[in-house]
Amino acid sequence: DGKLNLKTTPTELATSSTLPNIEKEHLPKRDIDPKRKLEVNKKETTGYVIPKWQEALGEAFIGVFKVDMDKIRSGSIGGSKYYYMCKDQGLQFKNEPLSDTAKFYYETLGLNRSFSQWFQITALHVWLLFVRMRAMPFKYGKLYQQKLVDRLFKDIELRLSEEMNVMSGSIRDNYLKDFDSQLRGIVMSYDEALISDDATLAAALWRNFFNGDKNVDLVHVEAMVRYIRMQLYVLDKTSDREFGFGDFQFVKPNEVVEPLTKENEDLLRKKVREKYEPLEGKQLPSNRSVLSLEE
Amino acid sequence: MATTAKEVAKRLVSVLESFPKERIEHFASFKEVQAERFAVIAGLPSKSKDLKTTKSNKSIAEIVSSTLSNKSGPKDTFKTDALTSQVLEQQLVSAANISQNKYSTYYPISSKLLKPKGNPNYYDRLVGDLEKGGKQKEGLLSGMMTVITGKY
Repeated sequence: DGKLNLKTTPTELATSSTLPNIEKEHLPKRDIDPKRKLEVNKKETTGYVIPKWQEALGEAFIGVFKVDMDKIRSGSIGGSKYYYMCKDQGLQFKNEPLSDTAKFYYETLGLNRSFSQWFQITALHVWLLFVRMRAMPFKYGKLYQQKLVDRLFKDIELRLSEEMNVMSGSIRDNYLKDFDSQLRGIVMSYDEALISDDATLAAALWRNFFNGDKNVDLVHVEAMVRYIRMQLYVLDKTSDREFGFGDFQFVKPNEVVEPLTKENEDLLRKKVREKYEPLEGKQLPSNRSVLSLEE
Repeated sequence: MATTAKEVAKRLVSVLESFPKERIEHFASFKEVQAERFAVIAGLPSKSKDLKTTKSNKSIAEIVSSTLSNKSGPKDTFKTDALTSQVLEQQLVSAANISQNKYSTYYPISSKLLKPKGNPNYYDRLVGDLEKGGKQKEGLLSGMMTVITGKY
């Protein structure tokens, strides 16, 4: 089919399938219907501006004590910004409009709306970030991974008690252990797929993300393979410095990535250098970093 | 119509069978389950242990009904009603794209991710362990090194 080429977005690709959505009878179908929703800390919202005096005090402290800002950033970027990026992808609540990305998962791909599906979507994105974090210097990459995974489990526990009304602590603990082993399996399977081939990735997706659905739409599986390869490509082209500073966004399912030419790439690196290490003008102590600008 | 659903399904099964064998045995195999799903339409004999029949020349209706009445198997069953030849053609294109590594070729990743500088042997060791089927235990010395350094 000439219309479906490499410039097709995952959403377009998935919608092009004429196979109607087949009921997944064996899977739970339960919208998340919270009595009360977890609140987002004001300091973790995008519009938050730190008061000037606090900022000045902070800069002075960092300058005097030579604080390793790359370590500090692992918490605010890896454990907060990046976690929310993963969490929000497939977040859904009963009777509430879905975000664009959530629409892709629950409407376009027709996945069941449930807590465990949300976990699968979140874990997939957590894994994507893990791949990039592993390529940072060991000391920092490990910290970013640690903060991200700590935040994931802290959030799951809170969501279970607050939003899912799981009152018993021991039941919550059992769920957490279950999610922990699921995450290990997910990371192992996708890691294997990363260095193998698209067929291995498709199989890993089918087992985890598509819940081993016998009647899965292969066009949807292909759309997800495309989606993941696109993300990995962008992650590969992002330097440690950009990634460490939180200058990375997941490509949306309705967007498409075109491979960079050599000129594009040189221009990109030049812009990054200008942004992070301008030739004139002093750098604030909090913006200091040893992370590489080149790779 | 040029091709019948049965013919497309046959091609689909052969593409799925060309998928690489999984390194470790999982609860269910994508390749096998999907090949079986389309083998039902193609009228090919089922390879699964659950559905193995002595007579391979059973009609589709018989296979479907035996699958439906198979109480020991998983609760969900193959739903083949919607799989017209047009739908199957699309499924075939997707399966072929996956098997030809269309996307990992179009979006190549460099050694930056494949030999991560924080943990350069990570993927080699992972694949090595998977090749052993996850059964062989790690030696004491290398095990201790993993614990001490935190690197896999």
